[in-house]
Amino acid sequence: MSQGSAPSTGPSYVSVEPNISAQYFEAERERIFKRVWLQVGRAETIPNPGDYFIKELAVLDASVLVIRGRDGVLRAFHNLCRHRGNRLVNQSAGSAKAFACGFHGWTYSSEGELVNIPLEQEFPGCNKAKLGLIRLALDVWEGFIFVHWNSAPEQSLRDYLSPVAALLDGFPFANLELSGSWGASLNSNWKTFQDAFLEAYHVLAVHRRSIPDFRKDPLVTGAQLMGKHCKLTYYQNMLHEPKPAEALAFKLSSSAFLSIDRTNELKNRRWPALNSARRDNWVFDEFVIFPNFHLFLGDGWMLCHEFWPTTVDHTDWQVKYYQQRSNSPAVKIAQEYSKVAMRDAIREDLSTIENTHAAQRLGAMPFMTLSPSLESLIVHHHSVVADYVGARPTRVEA
Amino acid sequence: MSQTEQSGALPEAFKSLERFVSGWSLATEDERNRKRRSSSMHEIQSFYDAMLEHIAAIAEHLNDFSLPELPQRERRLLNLAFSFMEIAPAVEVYFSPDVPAAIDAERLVILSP
Ligand code: FES
Ligand SMILES: [Fe+2]
Repeated sequence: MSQGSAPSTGPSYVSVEPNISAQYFEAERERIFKRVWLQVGRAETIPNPGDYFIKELAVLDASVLVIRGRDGVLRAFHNLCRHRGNRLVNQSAGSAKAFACGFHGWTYSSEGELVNIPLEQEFPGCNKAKLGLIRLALDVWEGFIFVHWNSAPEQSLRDYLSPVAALLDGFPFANLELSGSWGASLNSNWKTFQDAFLEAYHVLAVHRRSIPDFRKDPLVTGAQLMGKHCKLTYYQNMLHEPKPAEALAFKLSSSAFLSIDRTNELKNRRWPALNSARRDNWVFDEFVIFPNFHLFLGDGWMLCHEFWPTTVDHTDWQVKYYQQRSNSPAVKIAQEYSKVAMRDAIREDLSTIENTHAAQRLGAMPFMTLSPSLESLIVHHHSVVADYVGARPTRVEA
Repeated sequence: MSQTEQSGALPEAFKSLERFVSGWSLATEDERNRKRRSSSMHEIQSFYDAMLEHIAAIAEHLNDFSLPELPQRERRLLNLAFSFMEIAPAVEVYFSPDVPAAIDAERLVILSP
């Protein structure tokens, strides 16, 4: 397991071409997004038979309908009617006994079967059994719903998520509840957007206000490659002096964001796979699930980022912040502190992304100069993308 | 809104905070953030100072209740406490109502869970 360094000498010069080339983006759509498992949401958001949500996947030109059937099973379908292809469901989430198309009324069950054709006698010999909604593969890991463009993928979700899945199997995700939900649409390539969340080097400058004493502690992050996935571990300054509201939040709920709680109670309840280096100043682990899902896990909280490309130059980003389930108003007050601190810091993160993308598009700067230790995961992510695309190498000669 | 209209809006022990109810007792994160960004540093500081004195007692008082069963007055008090946490970074960290050097606030959509 590597801590803080990647096997490399000298800086890595990574070409910006893959971030700005429309042709490259087309290859990413075909060779990545149509060939991998994609995380689209949490199973607990649709707990009952007939509950559904729609996920718009512009990168696949697809609208995906995820429904819990009467049998309790989750299924994913193209959100289109088998008659002539009208969009079947318009409401982004809800619950329905059946799904009737607004064009001519063909109606489907929550398991996706075609159950009714108005004036069916006018369709002689039509076999309804063959005209169910068109499936995408769907599988669930620890409550995370993944879909696959191919209805019979070569690789199971479990294998695809290896070795991350095994580390987090049984993690108490059910103890967490949605606390904050934010989104933005940025003029940036999806990878450039992700790059801002693949290193902690930026904390020194981007978060100089929100995390001002970060620099007093040695700037070390743990970077670990995990096949096509990877993990980044963040540490904090042990001497951090909390301000009054922050101190109160820590007191009311030991899981407040950025707190360093050295109590054994907290350490003992940590999931064994987190903080693998067992450092006292551990704050969180960020698992980067290829291609576009970043899962941050801290003490009593989780942050889920999804980066959804729409074009080579545009990304829709959604992030959800979860905290320990609680009915205690005092804990909720503490959690509000954590949520606001997290949101404000994320707004700092987002401040650089469009600039960076615009500069890369300019064509004046052919490559990025990356630290082999601090920014090893950016190098990694871009090279995994290149492997899938089967494209020219992303490293260039400076 | 006048003082009399707000009288009784909060539990007795927190009467002195009633003058903040109409401005700061807001139900959603988005509303609280908008209020923070549209307030002056002076307004934020006055609210912060008044709340800081009581915030520990507020948490203690509210913990006699479970979240789903909060009476109206306690719900208002909780929303005030949430607003305190919303503006705390403005006072303690950023020294400005909004986050400086951040993406424009209107470009980040705050959805209520
Ligand atoms: S397209 Fe749906 S019923 Fe005709
Ligand atoms: Fe950051």
